[in-house]
Amino acid sequence: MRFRFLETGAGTAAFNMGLDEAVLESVAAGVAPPTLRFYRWEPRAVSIGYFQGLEEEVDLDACRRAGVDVVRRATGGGAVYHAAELTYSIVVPEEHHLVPRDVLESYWILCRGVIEGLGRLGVKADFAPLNDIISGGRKVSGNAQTRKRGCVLQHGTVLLEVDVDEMFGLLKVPQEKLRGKLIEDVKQRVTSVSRELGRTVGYEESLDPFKEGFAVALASELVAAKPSALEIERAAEIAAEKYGNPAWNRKR
Amino acid sequence: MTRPADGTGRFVGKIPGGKLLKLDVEYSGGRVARVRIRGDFFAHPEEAFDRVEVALQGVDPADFSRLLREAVAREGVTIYGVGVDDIVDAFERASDAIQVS
Repeated sequence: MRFRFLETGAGTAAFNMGLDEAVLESVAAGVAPPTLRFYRWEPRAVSIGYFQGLEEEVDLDACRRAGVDVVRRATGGGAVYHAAELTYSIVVPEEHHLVPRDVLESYWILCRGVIEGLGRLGVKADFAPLNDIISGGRKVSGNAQTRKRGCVLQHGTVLLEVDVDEMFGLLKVPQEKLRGKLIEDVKQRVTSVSRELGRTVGYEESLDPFKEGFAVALASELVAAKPSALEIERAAEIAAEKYGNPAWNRKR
Repeated sequence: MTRPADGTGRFVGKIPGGKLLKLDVEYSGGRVARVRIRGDFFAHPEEAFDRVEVALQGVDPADFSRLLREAVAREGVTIYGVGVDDIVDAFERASDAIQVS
């Protein structure tokens, strides 16, 4: 079995989400094979889940001051601060044998790529339903899935480094007086590859281990490619019309 | 307990073993003018969940539970991390906490 493998490097939040959706369109149309993509975010960004309230979750002024992009994802889940991380997306037709009908089971199967990649870097990790991957009881990866046009799109992040204080400087908290306690709680519940290994692991170093990890988990050969010209064009269109559009980002 | 006919109420809570649920309800003339269900849960298809929310506008609060279940079934929505019962419970609690606007 073969997967197309795209490493698209740094992109803006709107373009990154636009390209995930453009790839979904081309896989759904049958013009591209199942695809695995790795990418990162430049500038740094906060993404929120489809069902979250933008103003309720994100300190928009703080993001503006820090030059941090803000985007609503097509997928559910929580707010994520995309800084030092590896982000992946997988697009597979729903009828593909890798994708069980059962959503929970499919999370587990697709998250195995992350777990295998972490293992290659020397970080032992496990799947924690519904959509997390943990190491030593702490979250090191969050994942989110949607199903559209007969395809599954799952994207997720692997925390290479984490700065909880910086992250909370960009997010709102339900009760301001409990901010300090919440930050301490999150510090206890979240970790990163660099923290687990006691040395800094960057994006470039993480690419090969995760590529190998996904190849094993998907039992597939990963064929390196570039997005098609049409996908790049569509990504830019979708970025402008949807993910860069306040009507979408403020819809909840 | 008699609830005010006009006002807004809110429930925020983490569902045990699940996700965070934030429900805001707006009452007008004793009916549900608007309900907003937010949080870090998942629902497939996402846009169908939006339609469920819209279907709950203008309903009699006594019918909320039944109409929510009917809309979820009609739209073919599956929710992960939060149950329909949790949404009903959040609605009742938000309605009990109405502040007159």
